[in-house]
Amino acid sequence: MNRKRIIKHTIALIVILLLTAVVEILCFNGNAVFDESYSHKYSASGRNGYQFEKSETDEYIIYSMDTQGEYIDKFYMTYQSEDSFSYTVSLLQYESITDGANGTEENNIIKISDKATGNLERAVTHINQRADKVLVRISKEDIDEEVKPSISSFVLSNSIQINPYRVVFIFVSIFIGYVILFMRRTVVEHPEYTFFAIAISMGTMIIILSPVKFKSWDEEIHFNRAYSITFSDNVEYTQSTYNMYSMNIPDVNTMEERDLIADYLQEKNYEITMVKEKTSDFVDYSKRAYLPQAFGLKLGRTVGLPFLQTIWLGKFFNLLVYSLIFSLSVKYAKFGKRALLCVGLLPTSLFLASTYSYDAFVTAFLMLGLVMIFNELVDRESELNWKCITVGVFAMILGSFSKAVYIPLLLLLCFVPKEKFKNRRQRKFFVLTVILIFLIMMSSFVLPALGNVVGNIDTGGDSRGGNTSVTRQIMYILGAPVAYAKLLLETMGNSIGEYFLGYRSRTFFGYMGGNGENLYLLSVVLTIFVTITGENKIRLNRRMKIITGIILTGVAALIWTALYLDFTPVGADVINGVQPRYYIPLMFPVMLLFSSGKIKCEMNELRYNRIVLLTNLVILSGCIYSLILLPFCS
Amino acid sequence: MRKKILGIATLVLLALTILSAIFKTTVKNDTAIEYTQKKAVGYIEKDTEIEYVFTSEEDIVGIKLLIGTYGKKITRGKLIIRIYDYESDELLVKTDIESENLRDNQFAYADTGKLQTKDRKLKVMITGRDFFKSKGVTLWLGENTLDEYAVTRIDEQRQEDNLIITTCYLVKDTPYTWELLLLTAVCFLVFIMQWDGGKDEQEENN
Repeated sequence: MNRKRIIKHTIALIVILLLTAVVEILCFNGNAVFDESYSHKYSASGRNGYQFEKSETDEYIIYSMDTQGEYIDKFYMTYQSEDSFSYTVSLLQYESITDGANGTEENNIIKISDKATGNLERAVTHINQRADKVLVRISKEDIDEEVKPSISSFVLSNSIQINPYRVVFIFVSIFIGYVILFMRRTVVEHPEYTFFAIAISMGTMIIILSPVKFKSWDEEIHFNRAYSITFSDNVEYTQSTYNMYSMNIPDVNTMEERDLIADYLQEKNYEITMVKEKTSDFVDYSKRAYLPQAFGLKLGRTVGLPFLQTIWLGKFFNLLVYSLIFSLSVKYAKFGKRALLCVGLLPTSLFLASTYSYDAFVTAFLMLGLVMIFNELVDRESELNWKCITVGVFAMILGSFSKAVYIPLLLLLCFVPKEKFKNRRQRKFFVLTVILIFLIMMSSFVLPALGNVVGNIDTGGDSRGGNTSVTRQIMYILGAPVAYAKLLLETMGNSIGEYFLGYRSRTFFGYMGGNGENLYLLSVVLTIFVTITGENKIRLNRRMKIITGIILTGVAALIWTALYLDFTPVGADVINGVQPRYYIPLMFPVMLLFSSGKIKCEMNELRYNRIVLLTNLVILSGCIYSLILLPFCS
Repeated sequence: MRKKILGIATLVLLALTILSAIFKTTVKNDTAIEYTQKKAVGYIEKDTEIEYVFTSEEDIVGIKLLIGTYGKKITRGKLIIRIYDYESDELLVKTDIESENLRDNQFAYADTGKLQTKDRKLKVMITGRDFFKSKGVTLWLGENTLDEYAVTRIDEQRQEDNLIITTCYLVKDTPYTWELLLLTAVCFLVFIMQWDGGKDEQEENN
């Protein structure tokens, strides 16, 4: 890098830092800057501040404070209570009240409900409103009459408060935007670097900003599996680890409460409170996708990181493997690079990579496998590239360890053009070996189930689904194959649109909800745009599209059937448990199926790539801001 | 050269796969039980004797008991376990579980060594020693599917519920065979890609 460039980037970095500071102070602390900045403490005695009034009705304990129309940014409550309790902050605005100042007219009061966590001693609520009077109501229904919470003080504040989480988020978002806009060579020649930068930075933001309590699908189960791998002998749980695993972590919604929870967990992380015996050191094939997360957890524990940061490190290694493997896919793809960028940067996909789960590992390795296989399928001129195919096969196998239902994608190798083989015999052995690998992988989940059916052993099923049994469900399907085929095809047909293009597979962050509006629509528009205009030079031919379509349908049928066997009550006329995120690994090949090259986009490569990357960045930042930062970390 | 190495590697892997299928590994398994906790037997004192009679379906290597510690950490004492042949009253093994392995609402494991107990009626006698009075240990009673004809007695008094207990036994397993088979197949695929398909065929094509 020459001197001129270094100076340019340094100046840019300074400008971004200044811009971040301006946004944080003026946009998020504007009321404190332009209005009066204050922090008023209210106590029963009124010493060192103001006095609150306490009253009780049959239903509520009510605390009231006069605030004289001031703007309130945050509300703090200091208390002593072993149990958690709910409270409502009611903001009275006199000019709008028609029925006196007792606040009985609900239409004229802004109510904000929140929860105070037992033993945490401090609750914080983001208010962001003006009020003449503030009433805090604690419902008696929620609390034990004999051990009522003891409230010592309230603080109402409108002071400049720098939120470090928000500052880092703003800085990272602007910086990545700068990279996309001003680093031409990276964007055009190495989109994989830009992908890696976006994925790792936005993923890290998801890790840091997400609430302490797990918010992804079955995350506590995935965490426990990764955690168990880190022990060679017995699995030792501290109180904090056990709380995480059993989801016994309070839901909090401000950065102050988050820090309190982190301190509490740190305090409870010294003593081993539970030991579970481990029967074997052997990491089962279905649990190998947890190895990166386990490595992160082990590393954090070995170097003595604080508890929360150790949890983050486990997630980070999941993200790192996802970003690296996906970047390799983008790098080596002979076509479909932009489709890969869109799938890899889908908010839901990146969210899964930034939590404890095996989905990201599965998706990343399947993408690498597909890229390597498709490269061979479209290139009819050169000889069989054994390195490319070996990497592809290994990637497919690794990706399918945890979800063997995706392994039929490997069968695409059976359709490598015959011109690439030295002779017919080589081709025949090649195809037979691919089928053998496919059958070995399928045997991992088909054989145990069939063995139970033959032996008439009633087993399997997921108790969360109700009256489930894999054995009895297989017997049911074998007894009524036509009825099941009809149910399967109907269900797949009815859900295909929603599962591929719906917001739950795109802009959805587990239990934190999703964005089904602007950002989701932008994501769909981008996907359609890239699908129809993204590939002008190399594409799958019609024959390969038909074969790929059939294999994808087979994979989808396997997904639905697996959940029908494992998660649906025996003989039910619906299929339960299939979630749109299971379709994420299929999105890339589906986009290739619809790419026809008939609509040509004359835009130059730099501008095209910038649009794709910037739009993805906007969607990701928007989702992170609206679904995580604003509700959980303000 | 590469072709030769791959061919040899495939053969070696194939041999390893076959060997791993023949020479099985032994792993410890718990007898699968379903249970519901109902009540605890109360503090196990110096002279408390808990007896559990059941028929073992396997040759056992250990037993597991569901412990209660009333939420406290046990720092002293141990549970002593004796297993007798019920018919002959012959003592088969005496073993114990130390205090550090006794945790609230968790199974504690007692190693018995390999015992020839398949289809034999056994009597398990459990006593406690040296526990602090303020930090007592108990065992859970309830419904247990280990043996529907099992009988539990505390200080010779028959109980309505049974001890929540399970046995551990050894099973032969082949945990690496599947992986080795998969690896062999992949190695063979790479070999095929280096292979010229046999001379005759190549000439025929030419």
